[in-house]
Amino acid sequence: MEAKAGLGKIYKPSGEIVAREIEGELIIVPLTAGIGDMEDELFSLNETGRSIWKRLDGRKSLGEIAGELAADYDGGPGEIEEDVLGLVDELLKRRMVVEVP
Amino acid sequence: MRSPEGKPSLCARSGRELLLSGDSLIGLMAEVMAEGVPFRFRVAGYSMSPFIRDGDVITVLPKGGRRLRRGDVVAYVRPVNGRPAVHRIVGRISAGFVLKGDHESTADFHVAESGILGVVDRVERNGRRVRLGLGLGRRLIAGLSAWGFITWAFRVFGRKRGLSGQGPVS
Repeated sequence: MEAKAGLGKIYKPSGEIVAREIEGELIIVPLTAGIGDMEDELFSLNETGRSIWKRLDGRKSLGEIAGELAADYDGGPGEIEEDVLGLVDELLKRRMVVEVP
Repeated sequence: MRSPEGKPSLCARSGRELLLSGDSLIGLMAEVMAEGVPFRFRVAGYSMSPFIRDGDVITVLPKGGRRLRRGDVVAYVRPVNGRPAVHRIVGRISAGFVLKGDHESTADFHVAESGILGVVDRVERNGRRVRLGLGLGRRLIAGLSAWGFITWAFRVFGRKRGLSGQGPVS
């Protein structure tokens, strides 16, 4: 069964990717096939996605991250939490983040 | 989250559409290989013709503890301009290595081992593996390259085949 993101849970980037800021974009290179392949599919995050990504540091819970983002972005707490959970679900599905026990 | 950028999203990108500067390519290659995995990318330029051509896809292995030898084709940072290049080791000196593009007339001297990012293990052209230039004959090729024979041969025979318009790109 696929793991679902939770507001009380803590996440960090997985060891199966390399993420790097390139020409103003955050590029994520999956290493899942045992190779960093620029000819294969890479991923990028938009600006709001980057705001979440840089807070996934293995220390803060998603609830705390949503609280921090409320100071920078418009939208009710419920809306921000939903956006954070949505993105982390997507990252979990692609094994780009892992839960910190 | 209300922002001009909209909701947070993860977008799939084709690596081919990314135009990487030299610094970005070096950084990304170094970071991927620091994880102990190979890095595969498309090269531009003719400096290693005819063994590696413009548009070929190469796989670079992390240097690790590997002993670098004459004839190996390596990805490195050019001391002259700090840009990445893929050239062949044609000699070893006390300060490091002498590297040269097979199609170039001059070599990069004094390339320290720390400036070498990795070793080219595989070349693909139009989806097929190209073995010439990386196998057993690579030491012979290094010798021929060091003496400028490959550049000469390419000019003479390439002209006959209509390839003389392709010059080295540094």
